[in-house]
Amino acid sequence: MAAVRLYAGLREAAGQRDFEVDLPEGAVIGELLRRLIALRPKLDGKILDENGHVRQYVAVFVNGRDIRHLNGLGTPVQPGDEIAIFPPVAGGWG
Amino acid sequence: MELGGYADRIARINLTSGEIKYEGINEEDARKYIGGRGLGVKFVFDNGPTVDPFSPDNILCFLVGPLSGTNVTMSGRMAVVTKSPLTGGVTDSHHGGWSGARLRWAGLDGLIFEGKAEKPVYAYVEGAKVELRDASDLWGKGAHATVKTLLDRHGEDVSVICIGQGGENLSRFGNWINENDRASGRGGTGAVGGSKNLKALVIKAKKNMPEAKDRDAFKAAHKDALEAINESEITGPRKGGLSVFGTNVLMNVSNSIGALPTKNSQLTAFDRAFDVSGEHVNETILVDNPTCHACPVACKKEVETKAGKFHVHMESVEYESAWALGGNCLNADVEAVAYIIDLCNDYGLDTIEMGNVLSMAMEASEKELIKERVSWGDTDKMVELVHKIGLRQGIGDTLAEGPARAAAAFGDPGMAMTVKGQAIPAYDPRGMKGMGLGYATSNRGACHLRGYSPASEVLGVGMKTDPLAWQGKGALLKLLQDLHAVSDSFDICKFSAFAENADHYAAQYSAVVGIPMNSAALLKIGERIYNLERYYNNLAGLGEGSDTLPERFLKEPSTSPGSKGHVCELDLMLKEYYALRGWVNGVVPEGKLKELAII
Repeated sequence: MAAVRLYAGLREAAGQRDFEVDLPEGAVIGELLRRLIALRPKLDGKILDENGHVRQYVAVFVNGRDIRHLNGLGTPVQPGDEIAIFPPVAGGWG
Repeated sequence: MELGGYADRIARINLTSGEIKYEGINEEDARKYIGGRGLGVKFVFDNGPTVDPFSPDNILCFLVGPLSGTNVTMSGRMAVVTKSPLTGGVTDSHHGGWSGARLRWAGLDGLIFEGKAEKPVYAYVEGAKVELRDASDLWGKGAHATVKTLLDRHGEDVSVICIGQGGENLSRFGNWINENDRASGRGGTGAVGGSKNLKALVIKAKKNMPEAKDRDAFKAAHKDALEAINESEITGPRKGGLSVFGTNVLMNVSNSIGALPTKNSQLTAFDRAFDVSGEHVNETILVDNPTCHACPVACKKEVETKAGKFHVHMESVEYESAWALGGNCLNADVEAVAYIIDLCNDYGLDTIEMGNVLSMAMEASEKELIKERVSWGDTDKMVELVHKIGLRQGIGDTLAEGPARAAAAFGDPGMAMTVKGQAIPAYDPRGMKGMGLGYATSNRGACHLRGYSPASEVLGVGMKTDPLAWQGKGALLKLLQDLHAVSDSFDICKFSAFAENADHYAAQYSAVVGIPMNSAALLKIGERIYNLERYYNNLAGLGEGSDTLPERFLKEPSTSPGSKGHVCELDLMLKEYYALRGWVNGVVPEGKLKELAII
């Protein structure tokens, strides 16, 4: 089981913030995202684009690290990992 | 002057004599420094680097730029520029709302205050003219009461910019409050107003959009830029994350990657960050989404608290303020955060500096360096101290000097999370290395707005860089610093950069002003402005070794997921950055000044 937390508009689309997602041994984040979307179809098109890539400006963090700086959708996910997913957001400056 | 976009009229007000003169803008200066921040820095530079910030000889500039008050998206900002009592260098601080546009509609590019009034005054601006009026009845009043009194007195189509008791009492982080809730927050510009007995500016003007020099080109350039804003998944009205959740949507992002300074930067994440985040504000206390002149994004998040003991109705809980008074102080009560932000605005005190001085006092209390008991997250005590700081009572007299001076007075300067005397905002350099370089090399002291690296390091706007990598951050910061110097000089909101690029900027500027411009030439102007600021600071005594960070970020590794084990490799980044800037250990050499036509 990996703990997934959704933020901002994704949380609103999914109707809840926290999910526990079952994963087979040796799973990667791409698989987790597909399972999550199957669980909450309203997330379809909001995290992955039509080609199955992470949409521009969507941030997927595994234990605080953006998967763009790990192995992308091939980043391994293990039981106990914490996944945070953000839609395109920007802030600060204020 | 041949250039479009300018009123070509600046009021120079001698508060000592009461004399008011009007002068045009030097066209060469306009071409070299644009307006707003750039032109303001030039005025401060020409006034000399050795002036004491609180001396009548210091000047205090309120300036707009050639795009102000036009149809250009987000063109409602105004720059306040002076020599800072907090850093001893040049500072500029900007506010949104309508006063920037209104000043331009009133027929002025700016006001420059010199000297010191014998008794409190305010400046009344209407029909391109300025009058000084008695403000004795306003002195001692907070910003909210001052704004109300002056609005009642002067009727419709009015913006009021004023200081509170913070600036009057020369708190080094006293600021200017525009229209009740918008702050030119940083650097102590309000205290400079207080030192001059200048309480407020009242600007009365109906909407009077300036015409672009090349109307057809402007129409096309404006359409392109507005489409970029509207179609962006970040800025798109009522759909982009910034529009829906406001600036405070960043709270959970920074926290997730171990880059949220917590407990006076002893930690890099706050386990209750969500409770003070934009998402939580939207779910609990949000009542409206106000905006600024010519902005469809509407990132302000008006809130009202009714349930608990902290009752307030105020315009916005911004990210930096929510962090400073939230996790930075181990406070997870968002209603208390909103209340204290509003209290700071009423006193006219910078919320970022306030949060830092309070968290420093909490650490000092824990270390038993002060007698006063200031516990982490004690919101009642925080409120009490804001009052004491605003009125300079008891320990508040020391805290009103800002965290750097107060920590030194308490015997442990290492407790101050400051650079050049100014406190850090809401990004931890151990989890966001580029921001560490940005804090260190900012010409106005620790600041996120000189070069907003999270756009790249976290959000991936422009290009995505790894927040934990130090390599390449020198080039990133130089680019962002030069770009933001341009937008600050237009003067438009930096949020435009989440959707627009330098080509959008160049096309709009070119159409309004009526001279050819491209992105490379625009960035060269930004570089010139940044170097002029640096040159001024060098002459003012901020020389080699002043580009540094609090030791906490350099020596105490992060303990949070995302950045665990990391410190900030500042020296390595500085080497890369200085080479690109052509500076020698933070000092601008003569050759660089000549290359940029500064001398």
